[in-house]
Amino acid sequence: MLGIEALLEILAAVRVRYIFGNPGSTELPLNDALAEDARFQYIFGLHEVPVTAMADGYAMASGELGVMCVHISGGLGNAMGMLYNAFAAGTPLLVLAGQQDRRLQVGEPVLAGDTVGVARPWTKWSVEVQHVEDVPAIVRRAVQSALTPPTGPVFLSLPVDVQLARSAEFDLTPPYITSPWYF
Amino acid sequence: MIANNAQYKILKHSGDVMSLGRLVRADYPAMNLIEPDIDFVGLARSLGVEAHRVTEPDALSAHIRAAVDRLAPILLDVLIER
Repeated sequence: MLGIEALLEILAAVRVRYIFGNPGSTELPLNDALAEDARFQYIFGLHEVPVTAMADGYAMASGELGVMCVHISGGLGNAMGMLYNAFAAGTPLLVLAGQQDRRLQVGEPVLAGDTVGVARPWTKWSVEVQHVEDVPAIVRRAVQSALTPPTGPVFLSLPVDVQLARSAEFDLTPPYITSPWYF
Repeated sequence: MIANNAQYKILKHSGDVMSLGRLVRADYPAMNLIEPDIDFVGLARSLGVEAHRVTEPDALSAHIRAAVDRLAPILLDVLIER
């Protein structure tokens, strides 16, 4: 199983059905995995302001976790105003973004950057996945953090090499959700 | 000037380079910008910007010449190979 597929297994366990996003090269493994996964529908927007506002609005209206994906540094930058709104409103929102392959980062590839630091002030938790075996635990913690009162957005940075790394040692235990209204 | 191929061709190409076969089999979801075709000319005009859609190669030179001489923004929606 790929790292990005492990992420989807954890999201499916909390009945996520919609992932809002605007794709880019560093998120292609996610779009590839979603292309043949009938559990999810990708809600496509051409700019991160409406993408984030749609995910925020969906989460608030449904009472469910909102999940969205933006394209690395530029996409997160575009999303920031709406991320501030989600943070102020306490919306349970999981924000995903790809990151350049870590083997290339010494060369400062285009669009690479400290997205974790950018997202941190307006999220409850902001982290980059460094080891593919950590994907399920980090997604569990992110989901649980977003949904635990006081609820709010969380941010995960997903390097391309982590998304595409394969492992047979994923712990796919579902997240433990304490929010009484969630299920 | 928009070189308009109505798609995220760069992402399709990247997906091919990365051998992401599911994208290919599903005809690249969220990468074909055709439902609807985006009316860039209408968008520009709604903001007071002169705009033209260029469909014939022979018409392009005259449009570019007119744009250079014009002291105001102009948008050219130039169709290229899809």
